[in-house]
Amino acid sequence: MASRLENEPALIQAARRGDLEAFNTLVLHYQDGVYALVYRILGEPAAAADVAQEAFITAYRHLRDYRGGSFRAWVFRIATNACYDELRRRKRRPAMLFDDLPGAEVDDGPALPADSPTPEQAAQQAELNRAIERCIRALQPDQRLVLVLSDIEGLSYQEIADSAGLNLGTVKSRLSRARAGVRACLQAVQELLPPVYRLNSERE
Amino acid sequence: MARDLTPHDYEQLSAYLDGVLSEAERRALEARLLDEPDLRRELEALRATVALVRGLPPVKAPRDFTLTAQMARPPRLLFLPTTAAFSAISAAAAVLLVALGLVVLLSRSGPAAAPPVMDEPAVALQMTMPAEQETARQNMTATLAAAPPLAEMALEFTEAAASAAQDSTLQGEDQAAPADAMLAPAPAGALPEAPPPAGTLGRMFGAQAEEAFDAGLTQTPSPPAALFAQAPTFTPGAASLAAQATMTPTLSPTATPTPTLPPSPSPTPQPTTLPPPAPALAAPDGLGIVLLLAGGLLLALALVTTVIRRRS
Repeated sequence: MASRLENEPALIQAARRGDLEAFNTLVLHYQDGVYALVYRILGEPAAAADVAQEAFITAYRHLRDYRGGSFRAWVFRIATNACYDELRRRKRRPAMLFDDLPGAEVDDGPALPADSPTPEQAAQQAELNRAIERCIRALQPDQRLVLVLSDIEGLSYQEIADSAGLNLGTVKSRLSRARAGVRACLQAVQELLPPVYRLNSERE
Repeated sequence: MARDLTPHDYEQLSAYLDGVLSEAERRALEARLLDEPDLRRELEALRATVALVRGLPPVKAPRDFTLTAQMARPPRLLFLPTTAAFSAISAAAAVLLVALGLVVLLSRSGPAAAPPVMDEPAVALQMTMPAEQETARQNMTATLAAAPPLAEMALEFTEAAASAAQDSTLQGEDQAAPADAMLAPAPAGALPEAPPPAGTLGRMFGAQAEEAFDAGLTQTPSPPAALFAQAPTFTPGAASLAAQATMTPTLSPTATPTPTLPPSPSPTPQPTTLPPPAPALAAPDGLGIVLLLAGGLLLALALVTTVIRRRS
């Protein structure tokens, strides 16, 4: 996922000059990451696709504002802002909050890992994944964003800081709170966890 | 129990997992981990949590988000298409509308029924009235127009038209009206008033009237009958083109004042009725002004879209 485009700077330069082909090469490289980010933040595939597309359009129009550094972080920042815009829109229409949608976790996309041996294990894994996703979505948006950028997108602290517009200290503390939040949330589904993952803090 | 862990402890653990603690912090934390089983347990729980989150199946984009040329286009202002074609069409339409508007307004200014006072355009500009149509028809043969009884009304209308012309932001129009006035003076009362022509002229109006007007101006000595015979054959397009063409002769006072009066709508319809039809008789100036304003609006549209396109 984090593989580098070797000619990325040249592509960015070309795209800045209006080379749409060059920009689309960048899009193809980053679209999975951008979509995953948006999807994890919004939790809804259809809206996520729209917002991801919107983010790439915005990125293309604002290429001049890119000042070097991690292009991924820059694109993610645009996607993040697009997510916040969407979340604000939802706030104005509370009925559309994904958390309130019954069975929102049903359309969580491809949840089955490819190497699930038995249907039973696969079902259990899927259930665990849904629980994890639910716990992520239960976080405050600010914490959720940092957690997704770090543990799903694999960004460095500096890249997270760039993407989310935070300083490093805030990234650090917010990420720790997000992880602690998910960890506490997963206590509720202890029985789903494989023994090796048991969050055994209850054992005192 | 994890409860005696402070937020700072969590921060340290979290950062430790990511390997971003400073060397001193790392050593201090590792020393504590040796002594504090709760801290150790919490670290493992946190590590497991991160592993679970990282282990979520990767999400793939459901489709390509590559941009189409249309998406790459700069955002439209007020949904205005900013293509060159749109600007060009707007500009062309603006010119046509302005020309048409001028024609409608000018078509009102015929030969002066009142005394041929050169220095009083208001008098020279004349409203075409039903009775005048007759005159116009008479003009065809005599190239003279006059409807003395209409003079008063003509004056009224002309004044309205003149003020409207001044209100208009279009310079050309302002110039056109007086120029026309200069051309208009004709031998007053050369012809006696005749009964309204029943449908011979029909609703010569708008561009068609303009046509006649134009022709009258340019080809002074030509038999007007031919002109009118010609007029109905004009297609609207041709007529408007002709209307455009008229603007030039109208502005240049070289033409001899031959008052081929633009006929106004008569009760009897003519087969070739042009887009701005009879109702113009009721509000003739209104129509002209509306056309001019619409033209101005389109012109502004063309300019705005051009500017937007240039900037992007």
